[in-house]
Amino acid sequence: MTAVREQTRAGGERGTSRAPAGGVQVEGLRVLRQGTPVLQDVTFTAPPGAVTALVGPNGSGKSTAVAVIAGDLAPAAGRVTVSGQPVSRLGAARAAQLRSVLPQEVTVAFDYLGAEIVALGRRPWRGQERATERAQVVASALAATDSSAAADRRVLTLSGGERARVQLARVLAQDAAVVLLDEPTAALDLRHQARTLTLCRQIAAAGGTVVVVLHDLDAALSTADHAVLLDRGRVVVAGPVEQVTAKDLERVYRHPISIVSHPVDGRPMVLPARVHAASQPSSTCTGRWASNPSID
Amino acid sequence: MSTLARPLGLFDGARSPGQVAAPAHPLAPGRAGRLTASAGRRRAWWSAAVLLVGLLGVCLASMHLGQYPIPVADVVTGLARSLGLSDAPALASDGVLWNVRVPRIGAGVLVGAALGTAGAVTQSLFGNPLAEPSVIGITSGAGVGAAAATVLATAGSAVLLVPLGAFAAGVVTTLLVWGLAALVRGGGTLTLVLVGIAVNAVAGAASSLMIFLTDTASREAVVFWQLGSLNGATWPAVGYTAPLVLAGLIWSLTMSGRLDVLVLGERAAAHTGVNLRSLRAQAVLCAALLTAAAVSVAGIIGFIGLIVPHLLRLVVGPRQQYILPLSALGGALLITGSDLVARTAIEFVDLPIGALTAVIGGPVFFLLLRRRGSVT
Repeated sequence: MTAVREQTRAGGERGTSRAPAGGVQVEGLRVLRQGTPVLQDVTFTAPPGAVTALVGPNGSGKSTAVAVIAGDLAPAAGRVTVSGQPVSRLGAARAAQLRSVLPQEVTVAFDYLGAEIVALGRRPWRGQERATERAQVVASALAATDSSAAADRRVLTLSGGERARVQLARVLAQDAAVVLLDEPTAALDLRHQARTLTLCRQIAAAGGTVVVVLHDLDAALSTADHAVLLDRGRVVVAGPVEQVTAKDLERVYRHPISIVSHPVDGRPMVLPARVHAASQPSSTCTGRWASNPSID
Repeated sequence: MSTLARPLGLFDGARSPGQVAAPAHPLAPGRAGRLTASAGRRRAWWSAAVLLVGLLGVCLASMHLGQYPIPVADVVTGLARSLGLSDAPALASDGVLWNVRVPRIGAGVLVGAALGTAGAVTQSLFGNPLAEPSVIGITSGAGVGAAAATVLATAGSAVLLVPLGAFAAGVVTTLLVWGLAALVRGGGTLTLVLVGIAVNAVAGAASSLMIFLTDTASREAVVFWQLGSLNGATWPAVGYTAPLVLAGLIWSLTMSGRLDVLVLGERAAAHTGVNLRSLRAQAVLCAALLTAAAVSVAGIIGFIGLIVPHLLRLVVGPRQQYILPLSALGGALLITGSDLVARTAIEFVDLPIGALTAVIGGPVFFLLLRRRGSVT
């Protein structure tokens, strides 16, 4: 954490010199899919210099929200701005300079080298940097995701996790002030999950705006500054992670959950109840859960 | 250090996050035994040199061999005289050389270049190495257009109407294939191949109908489009094809960077700043232009756009800045070589070149399909 705080200071200084714009504002968003609303009255702000986690059960609209912020999907109503600019009026080229997006899954059709895939992320800046500068950014992005070894390997020979890290490196290489990540840790092992979450913090420390969809509630609440809890297309809580209570999570996920303070860093720690046998509550789960009528 | 291109400055100097030691430079000259980007560049130049030498060799052999063999020395002096570089006395072979063989070779080069590059462009557009103009039906669509123009046009207007008909039908077919494939989203290769079967069936039916309904002369022309041959290649045909093919090649090269980004899929490509609508439209038109130009001279010749880019990708990797121009060279080599075989394999018989390329193309298609594991 010390290192991150130092970087925050460094990021602040740089913030004054280069003033990375940023921030995502979502106001009164309403999205329909085939006439059925999948997002309704969604309003939240992801400020610059912070990590904002989008959490919620399957089908709660997290990925849809990311798609709308990314400009893939036009909302039926509402307003979305990225770095203060309305997304609906941004051209593809300008949008790519303002925000980068890591989709849930990217399937590469041809066998490019890892470094070539990452270099595609520099496309929004072509003509504004020298080839050596681009190569340096590509190398740094690969190193940051621990995938330097994938630089000169064909991507179709990489494992799922390695491919996911190369894609993350591509998104980092784009170096946009707003970074949208849809489940960046899904395919990763423990170590790379942790590294990816640390990267989120580091981007925020450098003044970036990170909007990240996470399924792991513990990872979300321990990493993020802000959380947006979605349930069936509506915002349940939007604000600092401390505002998310165990009660909110239990209601939304319909599963017993407790939040405790981490013994080392004091940040929130999410503990879902371990429900194993359907008939009998396990010894670690006291009878309290079984008798709780609000949990089904 | 340009700050404009680094709004966040994530990787500026020593502040790079998560970076302990300076990493190996992935785009720097290659480490032994590994495939780096610069190794790809070297291979691309070598491939270009080999293909070019091969193409020149085949061209020379093609001028030399035939029903009426012309000694290589006579080929050289004959060419020099025709180009005004030599004032040696005219030879009896000059007419055959300049009016029959050279335009046929020129047409072969143009048709091959067009089909090779059209294949690379459609594969990029569809994100699938099996998406080749003849497999997905663009070639046969353009063939129907050309055949229809042949049937309907008078002798005078055919020169203009045949390429126009081929182009219009090629564009319509490409859009149709693309629309149909998009309707069955997520179908992948299987969808594409099935759509190709459907489109080829419709085009085949249209051709059959034309053969049935028209007179004998037109019937022969329609059959000619279907078999594919450089038999009818003349200087005027080379004359109108050359600018079309050249324009298509240059157009495809201007798209090379964006076509590379398309490998990420349409959504991620858009996130990286590619204007999808414009790129798709341009790629469709460019592929249709190249295919139609080829079809209007040589009829339906399949699989060139499948074999050539695939082999080249194995050698130089998939980067479009290499694949597009090398596919033009490789296609030219494959067509001129196939035509040489078509002309000389059996004495006094001019085999249909489309049949020859299909003999090589079929197995390559199957190998590609098998390599992909599952067709979905």
